[in-house]
Amino acid sequence: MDNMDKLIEILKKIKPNVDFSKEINLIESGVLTSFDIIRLIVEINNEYDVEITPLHTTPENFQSVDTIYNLIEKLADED
Amino acid sequence: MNTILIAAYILFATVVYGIYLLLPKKARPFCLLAFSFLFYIVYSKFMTIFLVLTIVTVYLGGIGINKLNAKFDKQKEGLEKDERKALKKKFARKKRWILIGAIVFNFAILAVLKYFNFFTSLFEGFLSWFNVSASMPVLKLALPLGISYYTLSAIGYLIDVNRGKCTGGGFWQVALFVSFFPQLFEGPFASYTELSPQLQAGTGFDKDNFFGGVFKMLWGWIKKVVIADRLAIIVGEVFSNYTQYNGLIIVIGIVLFTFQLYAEFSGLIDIAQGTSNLFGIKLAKNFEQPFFSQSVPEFWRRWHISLGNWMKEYIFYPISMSKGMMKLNKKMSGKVNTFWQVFIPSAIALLAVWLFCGIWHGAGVKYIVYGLYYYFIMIGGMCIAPLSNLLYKKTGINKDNKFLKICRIALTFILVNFGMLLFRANTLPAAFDMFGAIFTGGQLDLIGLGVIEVADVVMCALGVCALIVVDILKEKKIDIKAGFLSQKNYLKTIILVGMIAFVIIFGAFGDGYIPPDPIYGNF
Repeated sequence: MDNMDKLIEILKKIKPNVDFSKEINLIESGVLTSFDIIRLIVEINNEYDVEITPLHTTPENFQSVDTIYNLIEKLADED
Repeated sequence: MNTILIAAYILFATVVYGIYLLLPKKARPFCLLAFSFLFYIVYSKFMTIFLVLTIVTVYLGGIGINKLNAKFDKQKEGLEKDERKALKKKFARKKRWILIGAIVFNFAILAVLKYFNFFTSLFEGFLSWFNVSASMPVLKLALPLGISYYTLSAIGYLIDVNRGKCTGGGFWQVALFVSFFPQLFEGPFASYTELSPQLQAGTGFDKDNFFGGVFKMLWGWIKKVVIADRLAIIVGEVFSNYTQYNGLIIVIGIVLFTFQLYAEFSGLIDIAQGTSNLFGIKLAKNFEQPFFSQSVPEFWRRWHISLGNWMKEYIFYPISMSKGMMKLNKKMSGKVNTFWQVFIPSAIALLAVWLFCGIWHGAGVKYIVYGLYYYFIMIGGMCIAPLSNLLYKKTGINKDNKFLKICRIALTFILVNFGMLLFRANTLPAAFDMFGAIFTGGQLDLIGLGVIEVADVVMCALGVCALIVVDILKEKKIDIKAGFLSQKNYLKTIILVGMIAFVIIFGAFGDGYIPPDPIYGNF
């Protein structure tokens, strides 16, 4: 399973009824709440061995699967 | 803000708007700044010094942080990855000291001016446990206008500079961001990156901004003066003389307070947003049909949205994602269910959020209990969620069916109203007494007692209905303002004049009315 698939699997665990391939406004449309974000960050930090900090919890970083994935890749490169 | 004050404010905004339009584009931000300070000095007089202190400290803090960033960028050149990381940590520590210094300084101002008497009374109570009686000094100072609002907005700005979310502004830009007059009474809280560019744009006359802004201001005025101040008659009577009432009257008093608060707070926010619209500025949204919420967390995502966002950005995430929490999470990883990895940091962060929220709402033990009330509801909700999801899965019941949605909306409304009881009751014991009185049955006739006239009762009922209808339309994404703006200019003008006449004819002011103090004012 590649990294993107792993991410989608994590998101599906949090919100099983959401089609993440189509959602591009996860934060503004209220699909992901702050508790969901915390859970997502915990799962991402565990799975990808990166460190997401409050600096990164901007709506822009969590709007869609693609923006979340871009954040993970950027942090993985920095580490 | 009573009717006369609102009228004076609208007149002031009109004068500012007129002068603003006459000036060249580059001068317009300075016009807003000058009039914001004039407004502030007239309202808060010598207490303006505290506004100036906040502006100066966050501006200098931003300068300090930017200088450190520039130094780091210069020194990191040519370094290896590990050396860069170590240097970054060193500069992060220095920036944090600037940030902490500015935050402590500004919170200290707020603590002394708003909470001094509360802390001293707590200290007196503490000493009395040891039979020591002490008479602490009492501070008798009026609060600077909007100190609880502008302090948090200013601190948010500095934290954003430290995070690299914005590079910070010049002194006049920061000053205008903090002091912009429409947001001083009751917010909303502002984000520098969203508000400052708009303040500096110097947008000229725009027909839709003008008509839309005036429409919003007048609708806000109607909500405050026709609906909220009228509901305050019944609410004030029930809460001041609660020992005389029980059962249905107490319930009515609490529910009407909820609508009074909503009408007043959202009304004053509408006035602030409408004023800003005139200048082509869009302030942050603060309400989104809160009574359609299906849970208490959802309610707080729809009510006082800008405060919720501020606490989420600057308290909830920093605590729940702090280094300590992440270390704990790594230790728990693979050993405990993910539920605990989310629950523990969230529970600790939420405690800080709700204590902060409670204390922000007022200087008293009652407000701490108010915050903790919502804290325990949210924690309880987090614990129940996995069980209820399992129940839905096992039974095959669709949790989004209409009946269950209505049940959740009703339950949330009831829980919120108990919170409102805590907030509005004169004291904590009074809140508990009123709660108990709900179940003792009986009712008394407020009209018969001469508390309120039939005409006012009818207006209250119509007012509450109007609030509900408007929210239903908004929830269905029907844009009332867009509908208004699509009309011909003469029709729009007639509607606006009609709204002014409506306030004059039906406003709860004049003989027989006592203007209530604004609930979220003096914060």
